[in-house]
Amino acid sequence: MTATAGLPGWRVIAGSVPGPNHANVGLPNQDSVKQRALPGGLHVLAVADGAGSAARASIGSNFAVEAAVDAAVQCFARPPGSPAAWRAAVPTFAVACLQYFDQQVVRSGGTPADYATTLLAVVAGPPFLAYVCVGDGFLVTQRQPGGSRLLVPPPATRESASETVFLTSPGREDDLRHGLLVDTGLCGIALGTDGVIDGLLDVTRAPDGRMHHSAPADVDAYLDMFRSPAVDAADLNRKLSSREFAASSGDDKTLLMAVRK
Amino acid sequence: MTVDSLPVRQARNRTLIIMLLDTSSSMRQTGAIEELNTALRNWAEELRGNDFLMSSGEIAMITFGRGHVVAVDPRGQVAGQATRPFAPIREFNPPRLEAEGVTPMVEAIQYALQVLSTRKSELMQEGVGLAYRPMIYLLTDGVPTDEQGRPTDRWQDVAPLLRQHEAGKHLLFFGMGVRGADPAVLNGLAPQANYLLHDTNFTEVLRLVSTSIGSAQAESREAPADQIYQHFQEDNAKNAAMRDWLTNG
Repeated sequence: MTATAGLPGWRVIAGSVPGPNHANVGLPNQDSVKQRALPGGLHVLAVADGAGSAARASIGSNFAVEAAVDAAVQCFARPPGSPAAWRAAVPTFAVACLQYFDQQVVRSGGTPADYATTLLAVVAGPPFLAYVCVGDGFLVTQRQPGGSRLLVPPPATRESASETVFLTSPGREDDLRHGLLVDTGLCGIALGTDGVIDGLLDVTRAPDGRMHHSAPADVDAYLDMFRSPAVDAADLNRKLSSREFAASSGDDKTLLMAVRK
Repeated sequence: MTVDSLPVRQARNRTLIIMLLDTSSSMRQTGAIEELNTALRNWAEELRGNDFLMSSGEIAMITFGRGHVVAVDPRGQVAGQATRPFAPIREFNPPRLEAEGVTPMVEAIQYALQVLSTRKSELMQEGVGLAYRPMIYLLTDGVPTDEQGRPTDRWQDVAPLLRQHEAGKHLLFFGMGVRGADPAVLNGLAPQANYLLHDTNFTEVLRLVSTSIGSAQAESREAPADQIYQHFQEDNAKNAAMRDWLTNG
């Protein structure tokens, strides 16, 4: 999907493909992606990764991105008029995301765990960028000058990914991260699910001995590439389906970008 | 630069696989060891079709029988005990195994857990995580014995340890037996993931191994072991039905 963003002068490109581990056994893509223009030149972008072990994983991830869009429509019906208003809107947006998701699950019946999914959502109205995250998605922002930085990192290296927190997890409030970036140089935004972490991000050891992810300059290459009207979502899907990406992770892969043209 | 030339980093997280291979004298007497050698070589070729496994996989081969319990070099370059039991799957070139002696299966399982623990610690030190929980495959045609070759029930002591690792989502353990294996031992060591073939068709055994790797990769990493084993049973049934249809129409 390629779209003109609600943000004047920006474009949005979304790619999402099933990982080889799922494709090989005929399972569907359990990631979901959604974006929508909001009034006043704002834009909401969301990605979600349904847990493979959940019975309704793909439905759950779809509920999550739908919830984020509904929450954004409610919380950003009018663009916040000041930095203080933006700051105040962010926690409201985060709580609304959780509430809309919960409502969808209750309406659909079944056990909440059947819909286990992560969520990463942003509302962009440069220079403001509000974000909400539960689980192992990641958010990169690009500024001019300066390049890319990892604003919301995925969890640090762990023994396995069995500790992922979902919107249906008892400890989701502890994992809920939300915040506001104010950056007049903001020119690119990339939201990814865990299937593209290894392919796109670096891991380095910090002086404290812990491992940390970072966004290498190569991420700039992606954002810069999709600035061009000559490339579109089909190109992104082809890239995400490539053998290189397949070799980097067996998971479903979703990358949602908004770039200033 | 084009979209196709955009850089993609290589997989960092690892998939650890341990093959526990019976090389006791019974494997020689029945000719099963040669079937195993051929099947391993063919399987190594087959694995090359799995891009993610080639990129992220590491394999160790632990034999029990000839030489007692030995971690042989999966690259097939060094004879005897390997100093580094794990090797990248892309370098997997199984050495020719020979069979002799008793069946120290229990010691082999204990050694496999030790080797696995060491490798996991090394990876964590390097800041490398696990893509999936490690998988151990026991391939045997016999029963565990003591040093004098008498059957032992000491396997009952390690079974609870395996269950503990499974419950903690640290491990998947599969028991694969060919003709001569004791179903009670396989069932005790791998209650939900044991298979007993009535011949010595190790090609079929390794096909089951491949299916189980696919099932584990397709499941969510936070899935309980029971669920992954169930997934494997379903995938195996589907594959069997497909093969039957292709063969018999």
